[in-house]
Amino acid sequence: MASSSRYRFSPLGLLCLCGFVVSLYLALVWAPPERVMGNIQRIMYFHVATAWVAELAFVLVGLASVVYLWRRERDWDILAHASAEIGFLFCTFVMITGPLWGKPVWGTWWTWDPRLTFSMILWLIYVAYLMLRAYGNDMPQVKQFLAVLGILGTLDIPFIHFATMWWRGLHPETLTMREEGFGSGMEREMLIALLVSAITFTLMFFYLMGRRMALERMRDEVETLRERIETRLEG
Amino acid sequence: MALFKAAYTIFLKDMTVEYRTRERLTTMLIFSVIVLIVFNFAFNFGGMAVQRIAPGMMWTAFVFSGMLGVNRSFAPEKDRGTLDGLLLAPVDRSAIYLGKLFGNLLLIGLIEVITLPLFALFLNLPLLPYVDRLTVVLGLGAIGFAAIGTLFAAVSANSGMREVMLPILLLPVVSPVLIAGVETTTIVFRDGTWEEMSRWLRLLGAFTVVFVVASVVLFDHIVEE
Repeated sequence: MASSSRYRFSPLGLLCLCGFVVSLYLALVWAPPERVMGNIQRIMYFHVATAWVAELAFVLVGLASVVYLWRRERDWDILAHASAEIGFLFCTFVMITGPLWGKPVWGTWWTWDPRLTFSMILWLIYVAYLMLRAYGNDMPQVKQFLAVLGILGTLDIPFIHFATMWWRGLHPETLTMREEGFGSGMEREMLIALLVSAITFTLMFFYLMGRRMALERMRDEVETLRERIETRLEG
Repeated sequence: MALFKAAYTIFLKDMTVEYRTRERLTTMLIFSVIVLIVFNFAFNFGGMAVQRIAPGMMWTAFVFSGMLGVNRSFAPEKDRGTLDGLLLAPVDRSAIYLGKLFGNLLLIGLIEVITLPLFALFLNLPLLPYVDRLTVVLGLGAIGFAAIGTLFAAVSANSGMREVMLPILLLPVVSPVLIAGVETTTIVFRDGTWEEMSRWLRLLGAFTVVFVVASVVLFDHIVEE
């Protein structure tokens, strides 16, 4: 049994840990305070990094769903499931760090700005997906339903994006993605801190994915073992 | 062509049932009138600019009553066990989806046609000058909504908690339709031009095309055992 290795600190996990130490230092100490917002701005390093992971996870749900419908291998369903759960976690984090920053800077916890609205809708689709997972056990084809929902949700992203963007705007212009080139609107230190933070959160996402998928596979294993015991007891 | 013929047959079957019972149309209609009245109490807009509130009210009424109607497009088949019969029919399964979609569209369209004059009446809102633009907006919105609604109705019909599941699945995904619909209707009511509406209409059009095609492709995976 290879199960003992599951409990050791994996190299990826260690890398994540180091990444977080470095990111925290870069974001909280090394990067200069923002001219207008001061130290409050520092939450951005975590807010933007988690927002990126939340969207990455969502796209991953869609891709895994497509492959699942095509190949019908349990692993792809597990991948979509894990990605949705962890993506939901990150999306929730985005929804918490946003208002924390918004209150002192905008003077309000919440406003119906395109990006906030976008995150909210994304979050709700994650909720729908996970609810269908949680309460769909009575349905024999629940895995296909989930895959279809995952695909439709991913196809929906550009539409939600444009609909909310045209609807209204207040969010600070994203300084990393301006026309003058990547990161041109930012101090170099800030940009580096943001990139390191984004990489760290991405690594953590994959680390959590590995753990979550291993857990799901163990559940499957337990299920088959239980079934085997039951048939033996009956027989 | 055989696909559309089969879809038409299923559509006719559904509409015959509906004509005899009239249960979906009646509930949808009463419900949208109730929404209208509830909004009236909730906002108590005596003298407020009704043009600004009317689009939101109309779309809320259509979306919620539409959800009632869409929900009943698969649930009765499941209850009576006739869904299995439909699935055994020697036709492409997309025909079942398309037939149900046409049925839902007709019902939502009827609700819109009947409810709009009521809105005009109760809200004291002139509609006649806007009929052409409203038709396009409401039509496109209805197709986009019904495309996903029909697919998710097939999902929620299989769920133990069906009436509860549909709105939770459907509303976030159709939110672009709702946003675009309300925005375009607002432009219509301040007598805006086609020009101003064009980007929203393109969004609605693209949404409709993408999700009708996706639903036709994916429906097969929903109903297989």
